[in-house]
Amino acid sequence: MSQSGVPHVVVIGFGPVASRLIEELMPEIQAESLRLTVIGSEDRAAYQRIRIGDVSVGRVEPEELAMDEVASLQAAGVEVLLGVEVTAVDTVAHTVTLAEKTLTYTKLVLATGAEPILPNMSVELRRDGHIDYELKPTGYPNGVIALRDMEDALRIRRALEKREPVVVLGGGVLGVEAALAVAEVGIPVTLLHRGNVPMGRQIDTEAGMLLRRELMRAGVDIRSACDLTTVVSEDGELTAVRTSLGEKLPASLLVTCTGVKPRDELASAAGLPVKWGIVTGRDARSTGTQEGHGDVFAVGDCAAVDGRDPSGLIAPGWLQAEAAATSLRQDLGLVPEAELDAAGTPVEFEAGAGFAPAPGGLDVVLMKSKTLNVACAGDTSHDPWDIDPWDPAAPTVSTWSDPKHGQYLRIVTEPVSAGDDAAGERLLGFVSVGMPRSAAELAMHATRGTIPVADRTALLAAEHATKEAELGPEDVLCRCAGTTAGMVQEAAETCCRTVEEVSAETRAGTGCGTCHKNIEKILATTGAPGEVKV
Amino acid sequence: MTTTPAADHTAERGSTRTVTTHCPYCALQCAMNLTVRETPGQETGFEVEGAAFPTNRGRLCRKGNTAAELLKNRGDRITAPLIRSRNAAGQRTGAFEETTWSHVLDHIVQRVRQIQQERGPDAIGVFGSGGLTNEKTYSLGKFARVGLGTSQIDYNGRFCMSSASKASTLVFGLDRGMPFPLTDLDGACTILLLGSNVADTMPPFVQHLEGARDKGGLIVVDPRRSNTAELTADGAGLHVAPAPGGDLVLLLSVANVIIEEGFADEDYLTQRVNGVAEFRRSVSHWWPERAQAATGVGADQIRSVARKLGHAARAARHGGDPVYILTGRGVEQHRDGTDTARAAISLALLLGLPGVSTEGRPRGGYGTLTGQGNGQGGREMGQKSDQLPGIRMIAKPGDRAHMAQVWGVEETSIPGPGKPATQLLHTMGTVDEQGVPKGVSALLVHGSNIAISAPDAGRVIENLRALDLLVVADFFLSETAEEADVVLPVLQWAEEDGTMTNLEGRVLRRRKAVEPPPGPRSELWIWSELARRLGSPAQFPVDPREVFEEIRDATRGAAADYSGLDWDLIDAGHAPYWPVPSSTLSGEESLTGEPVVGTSRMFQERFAHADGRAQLSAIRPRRQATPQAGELTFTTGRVMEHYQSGTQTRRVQALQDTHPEAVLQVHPATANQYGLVEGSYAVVENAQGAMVGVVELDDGIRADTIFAPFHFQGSGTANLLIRGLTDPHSSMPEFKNTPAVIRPAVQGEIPTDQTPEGRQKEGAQT
Repeated sequence: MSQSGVPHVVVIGFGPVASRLIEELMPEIQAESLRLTVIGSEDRAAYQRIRIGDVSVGRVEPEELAMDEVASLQAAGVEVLLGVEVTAVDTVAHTVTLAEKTLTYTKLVLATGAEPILPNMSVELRRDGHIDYELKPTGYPNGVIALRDMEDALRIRRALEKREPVVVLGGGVLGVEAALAVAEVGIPVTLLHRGNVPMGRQIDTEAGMLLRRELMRAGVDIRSACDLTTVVSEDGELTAVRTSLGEKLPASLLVTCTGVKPRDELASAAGLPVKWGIVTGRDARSTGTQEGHGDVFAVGDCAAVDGRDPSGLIAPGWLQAEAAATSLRQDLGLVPEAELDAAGTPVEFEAGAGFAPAPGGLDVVLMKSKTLNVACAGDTSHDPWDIDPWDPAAPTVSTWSDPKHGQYLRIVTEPVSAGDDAAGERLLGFVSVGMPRSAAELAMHATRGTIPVADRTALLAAEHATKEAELGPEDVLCRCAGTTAGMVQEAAETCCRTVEEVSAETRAGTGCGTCHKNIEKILATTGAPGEVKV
Repeated sequence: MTTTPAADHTAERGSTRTVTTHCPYCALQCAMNLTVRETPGQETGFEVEGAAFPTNRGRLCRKGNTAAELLKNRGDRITAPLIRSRNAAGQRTGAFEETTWSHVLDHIVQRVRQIQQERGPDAIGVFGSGGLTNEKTYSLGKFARVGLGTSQIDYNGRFCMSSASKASTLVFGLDRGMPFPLTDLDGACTILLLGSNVADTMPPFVQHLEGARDKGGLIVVDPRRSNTAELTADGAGLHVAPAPGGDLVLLLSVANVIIEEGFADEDYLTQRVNGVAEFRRSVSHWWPERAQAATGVGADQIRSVARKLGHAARAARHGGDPVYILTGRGVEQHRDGTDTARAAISLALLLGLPGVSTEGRPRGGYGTLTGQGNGQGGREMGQKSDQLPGIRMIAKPGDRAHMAQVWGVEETSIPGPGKPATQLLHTMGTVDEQGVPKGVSALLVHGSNIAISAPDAGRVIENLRALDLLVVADFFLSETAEEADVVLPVLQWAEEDGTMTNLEGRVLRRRKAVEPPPGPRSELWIWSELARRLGSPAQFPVDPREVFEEIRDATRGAAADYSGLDWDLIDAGHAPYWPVPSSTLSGEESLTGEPVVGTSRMFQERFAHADGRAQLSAIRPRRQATPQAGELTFTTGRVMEHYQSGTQTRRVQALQDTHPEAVLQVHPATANQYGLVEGSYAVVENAQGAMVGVVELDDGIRADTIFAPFHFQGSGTANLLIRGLTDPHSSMPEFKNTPAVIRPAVQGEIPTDQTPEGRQKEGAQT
């Protein structure tokens, strides 16, 4: 207990998972039944880290991703320390050492996240157009950036302003998202990755083939089964990269998405069990058995729940934050107000309402892109023709593949209990490319731990039922003025750059305004790439 | 008694007279001409036809067209007070016997006194209705607080409008379902309609969607391709089908896109709205890809809805056609219904729509589609557990003082807030572990059939049977009345005078067209007599006009201010929009050219909070009950032919013939998986209960969803499956999102005959 007698919870790290934890404990903080200090190494309060790619291409401003506001947290009674590094934790003395002071805690939560793993690349130093053998490399040149925090995103954004070629290294979901986002704003980009297909660890090969094709169609140049060997530095600035295929690609920006490593050094130094992440139970508590270990919790990308590698996804992190909050309340004897039904009986709800996976649910990867819809979860690597049809425990693989139209769907299920049909099936995994309705349905089922209807064609039917038709040139685009899509197209090609200009030229969009979206679409697809705003 | 309708609205030709009044059913309150033919020695004949009024423009739905069926001389009308005895075990086993009014009123008073002496005034509960006239709903609240001295009053509107009402109050500062004339929708280019199947529930409303349909701008959100969702076909708009329970996240995600793609009206937000930053931060959680997993709606469709709204709203700011966001019970009848309605309002504010006109043209706004006939007046006249007339708050000293003065009682004698409806019904007649009663021991029910319409109907019936006294006032022997100790016959719509407030806040005249059969009495008379016998200090007028005048006093200066209303003006055919603080004619003209009385478009200068600004705040979805492996989601609603618990419509032959019993609507693929055959019976069940219905296949419903109408009785009662989970802000029950399993019915579960007549026959045989 701290001096005031009110328990003091110290949270190290102020990312989205820490933010969720604070939100969860807010009633207790406001009731002054616990004190909370949060220590962030960045200069800003928690933000939606998962979305910083959108900041880097200028789609959103940093403040739009803010999850907390320091002033309101302070007003609620939270102590917020920003831009502060923690140098040591003493689990016996229950202290946290900062540069200028030492804090005493009752309970400690480590939410230190993860840091990018930089690839091992050699540096080719050039000066005045020639290799300079005299210079000794002092690190990677400017323009090599691992996208992890808001500062990285802002640096990438500044680099993109030059609109010079970009290389993205890494074929995981982050690399694919980054490359796609750059392509979507019309800047030349090449994705280098080591596998045969992008996202090869998450999706089956056939899906990966289609994904590669779709990425190329979206304007991403791809080098598969390829590594980056060398970065070329000219006067300290990145100018090109060399690949294992012997190719030299010009680039002023290299974004590396080659994995992350849990930030567990503080825990490790404090003697807490660490194994690619701080090892915790499902209650978020450290599994350490030494004095004081039971008062330490870890959540998010730095935590290895039950010793498993952190998933890197946000939904499980938020679930851990809830688990930690529950543990803390129990430890501190704080009983949250239970929800009662109308007769006064307490009710509880399972996870799985799209917030975090239910027991039996799967972590879902939902790729963020405005042009390409990809979602996946679990394992879809099964070969449908390699399954014994007489094995009652064998999985079922359903695949829809239509590469020409950019669609691919695979659903893998297995019997809950071999030989007992009544027990039903469970979802082992799915992947969906270019099928947004199916992606949404399956993402929901995967999160809830349920499965879609046995006849999978019901999903396919939903796919077309709500698809918006593309307008042909003779189709009326603006019902109010009778303007056709072709007339708008012509205006866009000849003279008009904005909806207002199109309206002035063709009268389209001057009535109800509902066709503005379609006018913008035509403007966007006919516009020269260089003119799209970053 | 004011029983003579105004001359202008009654045309007499010999033995035939035509009275212009409004429909007995829903909140659209379609105007109708009711023609009565009285020929000596013959049955009185009735004819109904639609009359001119802006909401229905002469149209009626099938329910309205057949409304007069129930005015006929029928065998099932209750024509005398009924009473029955109990056996030694206290069960109501005796048959109903007809008795006199004086005996039955004395009996009720004697039992009420006895129970209150034993357990105190709060041992008596009162349950009201959004179907009662303004005068009755006002008098019922007064009767409970002053006549009975109990705090335990609530009404069936708790199951209907409570979430939207709470949300409007929180954000706008005041709740009038549609704060603009319904006809404003006609000019809209884009209408986002969430959780409302108007094509079935209020068909004449659909004509107001035509403008948006013509412009391709009708967006319907419903887990089923309902008849309303069908209206979006062929380029008329977009149907979005989230999983039940996904509405809130869907709205937050649309808001997320609106903000991030720059569609928010920043000037408007700065000038007129508080709490924007807090709301934005909470919305940042729901980018479209993430929202997919909570809604089942694709990210592309979420963006598409947002952009449609965003572009249309941007155009509306520059003089384009207005944009509206409307919600119905489908999104409001949830444990998070208030937050969902709040999200819909917040979206409208982000787009800069409510309470602005550009050169006299409205920009758009938010409205909720009130359900019951007097669902609007019913929620503002003081039958809510926490409110006094005029939406005054029962816990607020100033409001209490005003009402004490109007009622002529001591302020301290007015009780505090009571339990909301579900809590009232789920605790009545029960005791805790120590044997202490958890709720009321007696219940007086007016205009409501809770044995069908309340959540966990099985528990409700069980609790009704455990009450020491159950009094039900109705015109037919409803399923709730069948449980009663005492049934009081009352008047139907065309047998009484009064006022109703429709879904746009217009006060309408309900006119008496026929003499009631001998026996039934007005509730106003019943409460007056009961109050007198109970020795009430306050007077209870029996003339609706006198009560109307009292309402004017009671609401003077209140949020829902009726004080400027004039009975003669309403009687002459004007339908004023409240608030009507003082003057009568506003000088304004409606789009259809009629003079406007009262406030047609609200919030034009300011919202109703003290600082005149709307109040946004963070919205964080909470966990909810989601289906586990093997379960589907059960959701409920209405069909065209029936109204609410079916007490009336199940007795209209034409309607009953078309839709005689409960159906279970499922996707063909789902039926295939669970072995269900179209036209045969299936059972949906969960821990609360089970219902039986006929399987109906529809490839427009989500494959993970089962839909059932809630109009039916016995094993066809949908609300048997509904848990008593309620919204923490509004106490709205979770009607629309219930995990359950489905299977074919087996022998013994298949109902022999579900019609009331059939059941009567069965009863006669046993």
